[in-house]
Amino acid sequence: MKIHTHVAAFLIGLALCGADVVSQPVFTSGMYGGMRARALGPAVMSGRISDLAVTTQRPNTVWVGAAGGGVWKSTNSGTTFTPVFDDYAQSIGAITIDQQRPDTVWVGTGESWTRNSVSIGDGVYRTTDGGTSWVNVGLPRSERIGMITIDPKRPQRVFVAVTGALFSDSEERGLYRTTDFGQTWSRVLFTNARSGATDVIVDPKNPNIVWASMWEFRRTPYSFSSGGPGSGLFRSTDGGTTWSRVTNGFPTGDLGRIAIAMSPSKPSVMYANVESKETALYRSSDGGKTWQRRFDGMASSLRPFYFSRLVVDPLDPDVVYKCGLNAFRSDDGGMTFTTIMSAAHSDHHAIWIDPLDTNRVFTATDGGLYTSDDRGKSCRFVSNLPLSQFYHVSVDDAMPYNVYGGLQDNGSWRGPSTTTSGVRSKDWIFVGGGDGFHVVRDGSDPNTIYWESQGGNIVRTNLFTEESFSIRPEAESGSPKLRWNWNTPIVRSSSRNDVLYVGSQFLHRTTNGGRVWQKISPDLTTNDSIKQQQSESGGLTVDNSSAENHCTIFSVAEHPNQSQILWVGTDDGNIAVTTNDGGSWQQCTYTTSSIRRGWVTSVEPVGNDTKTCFATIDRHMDGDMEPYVIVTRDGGTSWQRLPTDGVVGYAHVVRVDSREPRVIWLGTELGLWLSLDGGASWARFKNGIPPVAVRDIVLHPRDHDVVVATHGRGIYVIDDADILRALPQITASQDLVVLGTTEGVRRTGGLGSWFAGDGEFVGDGKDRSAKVWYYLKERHMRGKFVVRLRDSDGNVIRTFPATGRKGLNAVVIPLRRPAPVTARSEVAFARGAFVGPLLAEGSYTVELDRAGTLESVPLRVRTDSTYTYSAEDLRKQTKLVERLFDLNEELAVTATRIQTLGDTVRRRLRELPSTALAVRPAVEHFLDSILAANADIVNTKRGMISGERQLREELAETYGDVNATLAAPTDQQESLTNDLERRVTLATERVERVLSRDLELVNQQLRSGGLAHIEVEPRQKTKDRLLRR
Amino acid sequence: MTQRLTGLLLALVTMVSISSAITLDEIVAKNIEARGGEAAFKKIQTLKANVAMSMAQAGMEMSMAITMKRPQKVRVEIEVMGAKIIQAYDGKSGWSINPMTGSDKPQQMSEEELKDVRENANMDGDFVDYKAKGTKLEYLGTSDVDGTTAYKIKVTKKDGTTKMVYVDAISFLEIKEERSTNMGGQAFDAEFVYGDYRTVDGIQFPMLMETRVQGQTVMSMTWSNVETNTKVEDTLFAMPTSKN
Repeated sequence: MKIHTHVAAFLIGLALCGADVVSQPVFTSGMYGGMRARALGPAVMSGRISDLAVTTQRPNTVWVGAAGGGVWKSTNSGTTFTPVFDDYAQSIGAITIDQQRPDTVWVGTGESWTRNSVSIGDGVYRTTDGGTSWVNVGLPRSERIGMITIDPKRPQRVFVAVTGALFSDSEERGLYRTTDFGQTWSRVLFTNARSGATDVIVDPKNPNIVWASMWEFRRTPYSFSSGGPGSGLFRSTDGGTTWSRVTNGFPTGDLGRIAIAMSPSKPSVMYANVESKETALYRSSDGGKTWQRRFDGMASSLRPFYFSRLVVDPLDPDVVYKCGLNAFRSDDGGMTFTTIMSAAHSDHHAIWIDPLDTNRVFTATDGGLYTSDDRGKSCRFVSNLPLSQFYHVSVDDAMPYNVYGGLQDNGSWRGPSTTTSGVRSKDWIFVGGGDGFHVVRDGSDPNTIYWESQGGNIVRTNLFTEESFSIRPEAESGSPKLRWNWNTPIVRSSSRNDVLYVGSQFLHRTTNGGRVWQKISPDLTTNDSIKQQQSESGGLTVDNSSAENHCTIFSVAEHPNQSQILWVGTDDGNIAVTTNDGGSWQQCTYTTSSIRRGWVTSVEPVGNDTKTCFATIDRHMDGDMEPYVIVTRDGGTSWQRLPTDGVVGYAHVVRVDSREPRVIWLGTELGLWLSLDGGASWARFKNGIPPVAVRDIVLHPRDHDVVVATHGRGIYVIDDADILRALPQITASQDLVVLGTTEGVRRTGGLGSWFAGDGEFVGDGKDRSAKVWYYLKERHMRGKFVVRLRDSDGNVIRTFPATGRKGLNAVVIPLRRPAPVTARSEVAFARGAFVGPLLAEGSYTVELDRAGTLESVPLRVRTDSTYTYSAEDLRKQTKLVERLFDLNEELAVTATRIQTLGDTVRRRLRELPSTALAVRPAVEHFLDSILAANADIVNTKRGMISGERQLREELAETYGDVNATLAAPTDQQESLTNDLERRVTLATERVERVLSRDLELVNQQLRSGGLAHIEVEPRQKTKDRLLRR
Repeated sequence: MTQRLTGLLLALVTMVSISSAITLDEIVAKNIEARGGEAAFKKIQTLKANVAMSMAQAGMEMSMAITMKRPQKVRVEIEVMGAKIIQAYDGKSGWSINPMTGSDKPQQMSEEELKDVRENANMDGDFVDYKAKGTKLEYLGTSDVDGTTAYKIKVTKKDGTTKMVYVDAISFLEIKEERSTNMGGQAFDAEFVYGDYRTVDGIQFPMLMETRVQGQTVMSMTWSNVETNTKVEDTLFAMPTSKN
């Protein structure tokens, strides 16, 4: 079966791409090994966390389930977190620890806080080894899981509240029960195909009593509805086999989402937050038989679909916490609530209270995790969870370039793509608030940024004066009201610095930073009035936040070379194109039997080809999770769907390499994918990127980095991806192909960082090393495989190991010569002589030697373009470094000679026969003079801070100082070197005197005592041996 | 095209045969056989080698001399910046001399530091006599290691430390292992990737070991001058009482 689909995909690939593909090797996911994606974060704003769990026996072990960023585990109360779920779906609905064996943890994938941007899961996972390995134990089509509860007395019995599909009917939802650790499941509670379970609790004293809440809900691309006959609170007294609906005290009519909680210390006390036409909090003090309405303020009534978690204090049944816009606490059994954690990010989804110290409270919000030690009076932000949920990313042309992007409920930001010590929270600049989406820099002014908050609130901000200007286009008098997507496109022209586009139902253009807008299209949407009833959206609780705005433009792209060609995609399934700068528009028909209408998430015209445009169609809001990548090659007249075998997740973005159009990147809800054959076949690009939602991709036009915006794990950067352009040319018969080199850039320095502790996330900076890139058909297992670096005369500078990965390899080429050999000390390092001098500018050759088969490729080495040193400066620096290098080695030879002699004399003293009493004093005296000579060359005093600094240490330090920069040496360094040179000469002369004249005197005595004399090797021999030359 | 199709089908068939049921015992037996056989391992009583440690990004190199002797004795000497760091383990306790501390006196090593040293003292790898050594092995199925299919085996040692070992499904040689390691006093999860297998005294010996952290090569160790069964005194591994 599997073979058939592979072959089919292959044949389709052939048909699409012509015959030349025949010779291409198949690149699988594991074959991009040498190319890493670096995680830039940030964690400064973190991201939405949907659930958290803490081990009650060991309250330092914290598990965090992110809305889009996987599962993170801390074993030190949150100081450090490690992602432990990176091979699986990254949207987490529920995490539950088996508290009796805390290495067993259940994770329900698929968040149940059903906002418009919510992701999907693929079932229930279980670990029994603390998160090292996971097994998917079932319910693969559950999509969303609200809660998992383990029977405290029978841990093999587990209940899973499957909230289920959001955009379609589904039978795989409701309450599920396993009695065998997840080997088998039965659906024990179901109301209808529109309703799922959200909460389930088991009475800790009598586990046959189980409570569950059911919720009827539905989203469409343009509406949301909460509530219906399928909703309700249910109770079972037989361990979840049979159920009865609980109504006593609840309002009549349709109910919506219901949060339930039971007091752990007094299970007869229960709370329920019940969404209805009059949403309120209810309390029962008789084990749920009767319910009393207690409170209907904002803490209870706001957005029940998004905030529906109640937690009762572990010790006090009258203290209850409610998640909401803020975190709230009631100390009087739910009569009144106060806001806690007021310094935390809004939108709380989970709360944990330490049963051993109920002052200790953790909350999970749209902006990460907060902890409090005073019941929420004050709180601390956990700044090491890079769960940032970007919608889009853009880049500029600064050196290094910056990245810009907007995030779910976390505003708009700018950060550097790299720094020398890693990208830290302090490096990020907060540009603007709300939910953030597109953020772009002005075409000419680096301080002018365009950004937006939800629903098209477009703003221009001057980062220098910190002024912000609202620039949203408004409808002219008598014209239709403008419709703005939640996530409104703001796109800068790639060729005209002053041009900026934004899309309502019309495409608008400005050439003066939004002071004047020109409408350059008719309504490009379907303008279907049925899809424009957002004021009615929400169901029982009206919720018109602009999240459901519809019939709007969603994607805009200008052709990279022909700025009159513009492609536009809309959320309601239209693709339109103009070839005359908006003068006229053509609506494209792309639907076929295999391509249906959907949200046009990206349009991607291809350079050097005015007729080709790729697009992604996302139909997940119609309940169809398939990835759709389509292409036209005739300017939009006809469209084909590309095969996407093996690709999972609905499609958000497609990007085509500007120079090698066979290299195509695809972002879906479940990861990043790469094609090397024009879209005929795809492989997941992992190498550090989990299967996280990839919402946007930018190919940096100057640096050729791939910048990936994820909705849950921040930004990833794949550096120097231009090397991928060489891969489509490889033929299947080639064993080893050298693809090229990343040039060597001579630079020094870096400011380092201070002692931040372990609690701060630091994004990886760019690895600026020179590299050689090559492809191997098969893994290299046996025999020598090395890389040689040769200068322009062919001399070998260094030889170092190659890597033997199947597929793509990248080997770092050291840009420094080997460090100088320094004199040996028993007690101290020769600090400063750690590394060799940087290679000179110029051309080098990199040679791969695979068991005698040689392949060469040139390497260019240049000085960093931001340095302003003259050629004369560079020459002076090189010259002095070389002098100091040689002096270090000269002194090493001298020291080795005296130390070797010292070892010999010491041994001879030990072995001196008792009959040789007369000789002993002379030999002992000789040893003293040897040690004295050595002690003037190298440090000999013990102690880490002895303050001792002999010739060797001075020499190494001076070498290190001059070698630490490319600047011309100071006058002092020049004269100090002259002085050191004199001292090396003197020390050498002294040592050689000891080795010749003084030794001869001792040897005479030895010989006269009938003993063998001591021999020393000639200096040149020591030198050759020591320096291996 | 026909050729390629055949190739593709063959590859699929190979994949199928690789993932078909193989037992832990078979993998272990085939690995030991591929490495040269148990007898060949046991014949080796001592082993000496030079190791070049290269940290390309920092432009740094260090050289190390390693000496091993059965049972479980090891001594490494690292030359760096005009000083020598010595670490040794005599099968029971370990010690080190580190000029970084400003002292040339040997210091007893902590249990944490010893974990890596003991790992170095392991002459036979993890599979030979694993039961007798109190090691527990679990076969966790196949895994894609940089495009190569490998058998993933979880190793739990007598002292409770665990690691993952990946055995190439074709050559049955170890491709890599994953374990926690100690670098400069900090614990890291690292990958140790093996390559450049050559025959040394009847066994297949990886002359290259690459250390990767988060997928990036941080150090490469190239072995050379491997000598077996030379005479090595036990005193080399014992903590010196006084220094002369």
